[in-house]
Amino acid sequence: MSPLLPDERRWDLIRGTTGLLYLFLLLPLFVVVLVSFNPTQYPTFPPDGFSLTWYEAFLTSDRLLGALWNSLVVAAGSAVVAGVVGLVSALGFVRREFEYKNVLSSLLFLPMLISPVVIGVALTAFLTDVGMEKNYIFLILGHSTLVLPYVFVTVRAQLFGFDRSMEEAALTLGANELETFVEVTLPTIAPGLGAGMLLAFVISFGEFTATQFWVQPQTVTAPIEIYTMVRTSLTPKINAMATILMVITVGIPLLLDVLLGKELILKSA
Amino acid sequence: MSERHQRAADSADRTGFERYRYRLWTGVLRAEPVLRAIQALKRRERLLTAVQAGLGIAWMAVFLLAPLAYILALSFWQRGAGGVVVQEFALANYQSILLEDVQLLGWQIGNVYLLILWQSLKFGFLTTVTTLLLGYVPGYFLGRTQSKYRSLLLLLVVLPFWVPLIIRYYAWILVMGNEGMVTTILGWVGVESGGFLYTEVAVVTGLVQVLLPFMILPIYNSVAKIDDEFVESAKTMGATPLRAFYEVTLPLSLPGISAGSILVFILAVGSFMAPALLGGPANSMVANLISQTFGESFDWPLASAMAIVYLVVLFTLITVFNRFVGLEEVFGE
Repeated sequence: MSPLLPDERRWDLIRGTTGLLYLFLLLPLFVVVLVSFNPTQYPTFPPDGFSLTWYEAFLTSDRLLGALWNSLVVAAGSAVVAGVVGLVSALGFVRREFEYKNVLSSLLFLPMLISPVVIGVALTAFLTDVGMEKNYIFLILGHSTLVLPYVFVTVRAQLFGFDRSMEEAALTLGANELETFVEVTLPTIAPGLGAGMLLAFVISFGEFTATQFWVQPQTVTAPIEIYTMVRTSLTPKINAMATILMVITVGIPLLLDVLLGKELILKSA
Repeated sequence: MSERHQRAADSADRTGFERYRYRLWTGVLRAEPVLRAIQALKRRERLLTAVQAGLGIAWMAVFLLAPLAYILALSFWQRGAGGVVVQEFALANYQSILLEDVQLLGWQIGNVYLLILWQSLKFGFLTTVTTLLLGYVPGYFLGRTQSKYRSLLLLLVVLPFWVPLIIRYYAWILVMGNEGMVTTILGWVGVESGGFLYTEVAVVTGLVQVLLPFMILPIYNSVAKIDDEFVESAKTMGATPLRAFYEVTLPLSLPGISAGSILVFILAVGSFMAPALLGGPANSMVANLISQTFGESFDWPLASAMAIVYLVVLFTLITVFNRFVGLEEVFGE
């Protein structure tokens, strides 16, 4: 930002620094993908060759595949539950007036601010002491709580920009409220709901910190397995598994986005 | 009610009060049944409000507030033999985490909980300052650039959110480990090092990288809102570009700076994974201590007291911060 530099040079400096920070943000993830094809036992840089050994090891491990399956079930369940609860509450908070609205809406953001360790510990103590077992439902209830703020905030943003005259037109033309909601409201806010539920899926899928208190051997999720491997053996299977998880949470949504031509994700940014 | 009134009530049910008022005003309807219908509609509206907004509030009450209230109660109870909780009210847990010093091999090492809490706040502060210094530049760039790739560049900032957090921290083990990228590259230029893993530097680097998007995005939002004309007119009136930045751009981007800072600070202080994966035993943070006490020592009451003190400290800090800058910027509409 030296005043001696001409404007363009200063801008080049800002652009260059930004580029470096993008490298800092994204490069470590590329390293994981790169190293996952490395045949040797210890991760080395630069890689020693190309092999799919560790993918094979991952795909033949019932334990790891089971964990992946558990993660998919819990993430899908949480996205649906948080989607419904988030959509309904966003409708209530945007379209209706009531007292203490601001305070109450910050309640819905609280899970983002409280450390997941505290939420994990508190929910474990509470739910086990009221007699609940640590099963899928336990996990889905916990994860839905953690991801609800993300669905709420994206749907709410979409509702703020909603032109209600379309709903009024539908009502005037003889549709009842349910028809209007399904045929007019829902399609219009679908991008926000979709983006929110996708984010809910992705965050639930990768959640570790609170989840470590909520699992039992049969419901161990993929991030828990990764953590266990990191803490015990640092096996290269981690790299293969991590790459597959990234394909699921980043690759597939982006691909669908482009293929379906909706570009929800590209446009929501 | 006559058929005409019934029809009117039905159509009003579809189109709301306005149509009603109009018909009342034009004398199509008599007042009494209309008033009754309006009351019915109002009751229905109140019920819908309660159900819609109430669903999210009830969810948080059951799955967040009730569990927090429960650990508040737990924190005053005691751990009995074999980890069984004894429901006897006492302040013993708070005494042991706030007042008692720990002796190790004859050395007075101070109060472990308070030391670790202090260390968490320190890591949080270091992370916030570093992310602010690093994050302002890309935030400014994204807010000012005319590039047609701007939304793609924004997407790249958001994209890491989708990668499981554990993978983002794990990646640094590969980068900073003793045969990792950093060590290798430093070796090429003749600097020998055993890697940076399991140090304070590693913990803060991991936190900065993971939390950077939370700083970049609010700053981008603030900078993008600044009218070009403000900056240009400052320059026209003789301000150097640097002065124009200090006097115009920086103050106008303060909302983004404070929103990003408070968010990064809160998230950094509560971090479990950065110290667990990248730090050594000396770099523990409060989340690790709570987790260890709860999951490994099975002392639920003590872990609860630790969680409560952490929440009280954090929310006190947020409230103080909130007196200086509004938090609406973070969650505002």
